[in-house]
Amino acid sequence: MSFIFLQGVSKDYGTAQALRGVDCSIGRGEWVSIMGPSGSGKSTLLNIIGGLDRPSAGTITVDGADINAMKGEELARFRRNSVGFIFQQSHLIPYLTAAENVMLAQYFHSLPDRAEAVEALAKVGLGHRLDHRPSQLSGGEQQRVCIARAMINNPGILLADEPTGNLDRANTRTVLDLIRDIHRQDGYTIIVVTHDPEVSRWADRSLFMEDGRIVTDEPICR
Amino acid sequence: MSQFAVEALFVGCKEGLVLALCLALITAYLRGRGRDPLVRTVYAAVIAVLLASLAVIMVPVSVEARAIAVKMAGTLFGLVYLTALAALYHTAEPKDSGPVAEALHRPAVLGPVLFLATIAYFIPDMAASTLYVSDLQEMAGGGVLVHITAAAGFFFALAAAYAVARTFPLDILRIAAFPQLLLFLALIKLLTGGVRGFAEISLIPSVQSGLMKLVHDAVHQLLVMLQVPDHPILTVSAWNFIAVLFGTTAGLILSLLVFLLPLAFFLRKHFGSPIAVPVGLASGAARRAYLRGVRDDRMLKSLPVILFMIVITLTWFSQRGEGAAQRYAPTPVRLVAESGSISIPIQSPGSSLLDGRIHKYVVQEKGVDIRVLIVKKPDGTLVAALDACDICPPDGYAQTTEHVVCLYCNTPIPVGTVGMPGGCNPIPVTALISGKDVRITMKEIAGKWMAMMIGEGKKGVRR
Amino acid sequence: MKVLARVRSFLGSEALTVRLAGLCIAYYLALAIWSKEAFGTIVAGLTGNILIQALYVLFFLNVSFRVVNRMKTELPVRTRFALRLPLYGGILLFLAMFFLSLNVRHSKWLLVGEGDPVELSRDAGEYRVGTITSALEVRSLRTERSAIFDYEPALTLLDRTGRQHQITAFPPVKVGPAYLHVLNFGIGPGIEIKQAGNTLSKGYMALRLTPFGTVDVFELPPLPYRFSLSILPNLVRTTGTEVEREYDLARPRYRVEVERGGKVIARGETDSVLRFDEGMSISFDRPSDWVLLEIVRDPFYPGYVASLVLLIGGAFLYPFSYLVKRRDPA
Repeated sequence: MSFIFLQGVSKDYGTAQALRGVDCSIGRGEWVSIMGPSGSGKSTLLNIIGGLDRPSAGTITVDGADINAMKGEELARFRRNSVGFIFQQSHLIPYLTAAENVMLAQYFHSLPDRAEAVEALAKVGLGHRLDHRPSQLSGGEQQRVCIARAMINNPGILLADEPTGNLDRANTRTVLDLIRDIHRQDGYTIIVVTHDPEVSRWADRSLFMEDGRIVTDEPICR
Repeated sequence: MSQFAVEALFVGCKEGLVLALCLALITAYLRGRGRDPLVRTVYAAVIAVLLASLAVIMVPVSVEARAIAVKMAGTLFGLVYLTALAALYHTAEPKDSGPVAEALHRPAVLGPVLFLATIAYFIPDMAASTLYVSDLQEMAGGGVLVHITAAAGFFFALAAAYAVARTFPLDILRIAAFPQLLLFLALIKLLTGGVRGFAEISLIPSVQSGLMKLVHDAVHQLLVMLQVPDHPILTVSAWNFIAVLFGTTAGLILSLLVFLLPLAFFLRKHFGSPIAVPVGLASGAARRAYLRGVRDDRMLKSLPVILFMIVITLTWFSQRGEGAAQRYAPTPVRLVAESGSISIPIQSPGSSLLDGRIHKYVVQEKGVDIRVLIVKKPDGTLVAALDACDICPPDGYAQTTEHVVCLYCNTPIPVGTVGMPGGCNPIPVTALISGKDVRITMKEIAGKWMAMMIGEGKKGVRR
Repeated sequence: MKVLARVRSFLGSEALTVRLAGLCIAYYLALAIWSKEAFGTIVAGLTGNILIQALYVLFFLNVSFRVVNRMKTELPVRTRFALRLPLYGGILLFLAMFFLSLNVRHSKWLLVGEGDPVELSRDAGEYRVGTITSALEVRSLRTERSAIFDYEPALTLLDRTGRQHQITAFPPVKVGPAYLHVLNFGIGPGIEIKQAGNTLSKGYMALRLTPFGTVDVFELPPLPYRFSLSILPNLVRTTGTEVEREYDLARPRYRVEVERGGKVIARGETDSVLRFDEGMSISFDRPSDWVLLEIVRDPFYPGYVASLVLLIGGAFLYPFSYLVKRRDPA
């Protein structure tokens, strides 16, 4: 049985159709990349899978739970417990330190725990930058803080929207290495939206979208 | 409707509301715990209580039995509160339940225990209130109106409470485990446990005066062992220092602290005790989620305790000592002396000297107002005294549940000792008491009043 | 050794403290509701009831073990330890001294006048009351502003060698094996009861007539009379709204009431004599001063006082210990 299953998912914004009847299934522990031109519906699809947006039609189940049927507190609980997000813009709180940004995610989940946050940051190679604010971190370091923040509550699913979009080659490599470690060691299900074929090649499988539809769905051969 | 019927209505409403509230809590708890058969046991016990209360109307009850009923009300509160504290302590201490608790969980044991406990909880107040309603009926001159209004108030309150309970169902298990339930029941008993209608709405004044006596006795014992002299011969500064400890405010605060200290200990333990995380959740988000769940549960379970502490603290000072609001100080009725004496009928429309309250009268002699009070003592005899004492300025007396209180120095005098001379006691006067009236000569009261006015000790340190 | 460890664990357990406290509260409650005098009964039990004494000793051991265990954990942080030690030490010392003092103390009250002998103990030698300073002036003018409680009596105690000890109300003075202080004092009117000119009874009555206006009663068996007495001002002067009362204690004015068989048979105000009944009279002579002396033999008294000082000082210092950071165990 698929871990994430979409059937006939559509999304309309007024007269514009962002998604048109998308069918897709993703297995547990798979790394999928979603590629496509601007406006193809990649980010919309990602947001719907993560419960940040609702489809206009269709069903989506994650680990057997119907996301569309969830409301309010239940949906918020799903987002908190099951999904970690990484965005192109890091969205770190500028007046909190790296450790505090990670602890904020803990706070909204259950309880802050500095020791655990420190351990998570050490895992992403930022053990020496705990008390630095985002403005004191490079783009790559900020993105690594985002990864630690996304994983701190053991969600099981990592959704990344252009995580390396603002990074240079070296930092891109570093971030992708981290995501690969998460994938291999912790068995996360990872979905990465990217326009970069190099980034897409790190995944197990690549979906190509155009005009709100999945056009191709191919495994990546390495 | 006469004042007695109004008071009977009030007593009936109060008992009905208390019964409804307690039943709602107990049955919601039992149903929440999946113990629905025990709900029937509780209802059966309540029916037994109501039948017993009715029996009290029919069967004559001695003075001693009445006194026992009143004392049982206080004892029950103490027992429920202490049991709640013991249960709170055990929940704060992570332990296996002992043999007693295990035995209690067996249905064969739990049913009868619950039946008896329910009866014991409700019967003292119900019986005492029923006796009081019978007293009201006697004071009203007989008839059934008083009992009917009491019953009407009772059933009206039950019906109203039932309607509210149906509209707002109670999910009590979110905030109350067994200890918190007991604490709710103790709070209800404390706030509504008085047995004499308007004169005694709650047990707080009795509990306060008991605790203040404890504080007073403890401090007194410490000072006696320090070899501090009798107070009349201390210097003003030394007396003022000690008077702070014996004063009303210090006594109120200390007695409140004594009362709430066990709950404060529980809260400290409750929030401070370590949480044993299950082995499978050794680290990470699951562990934090578990901890959060336990802490949220602790917070919810502490709410009844905190509510108890807030309610008691707020009401403690509004019913200070034996209550400024609870003090009964009637306006003296003016009398005119005839043939050198005053005569007060024992029974008159709307009032009776035998109602246990102080009755004050004022009569003029050579331009001076002389006040007299008459009260029925607990042993049933009437006693007359001046509304003044040897020592204090003649501000007079007010009455609380078991005492008359000097309005100048706040000294409580047990009603049973009115009639004895000396100290802060009202100056006794000789009175001729027949079955019809109380007769006192002007020579007696004028002579004693004038002598009292001349005494020097009155113009003492004004506080 | 295992048994010893278990005993130590039991004695030092919080559960034992809670259970003993609960037992005490339940007992006090039962007494307070059903017999009125609860505190006194428990204190009497501490001196006479072996079960209550045993429970108290168990409680003391429990508190001691817990305090010692607690102080062991506080020891590494010296400042914190020092700030907490007085209170903990005061608690232990108080519990011990209170109990010992209650059980060992021997006290007696002695009503004495000038020249009376005072026995402190069988082997302490003889003492005698020297002068009594009642602090009541012979002639005094008292107004509304005069306080009730401004008397400070004192007496001198002479031993066999003529050495004087000044005894006042507080603090108590150690004389030989005992502590002495003035518990109360008063005026003792000189009273003579006569019948048809024959003296039936004569002497000084130690009555509580202060503060002025206080009424005291006395009887003189086998005479069937009850006498009520209070001191009246010799002169009352009203100046505007202020009332002044003048007292002459060399020749006080008394308000006298005589009862027989529960009925008042005579009432009057006099500084010399009042006649009542058939040929009876009561007359008053110059009063003397009396002092009620409390004599206490208690070797633990200094310890008791020290424990109170420690408790009060310790309670003051204790909150400051929270300002000292706790060192985490290494």
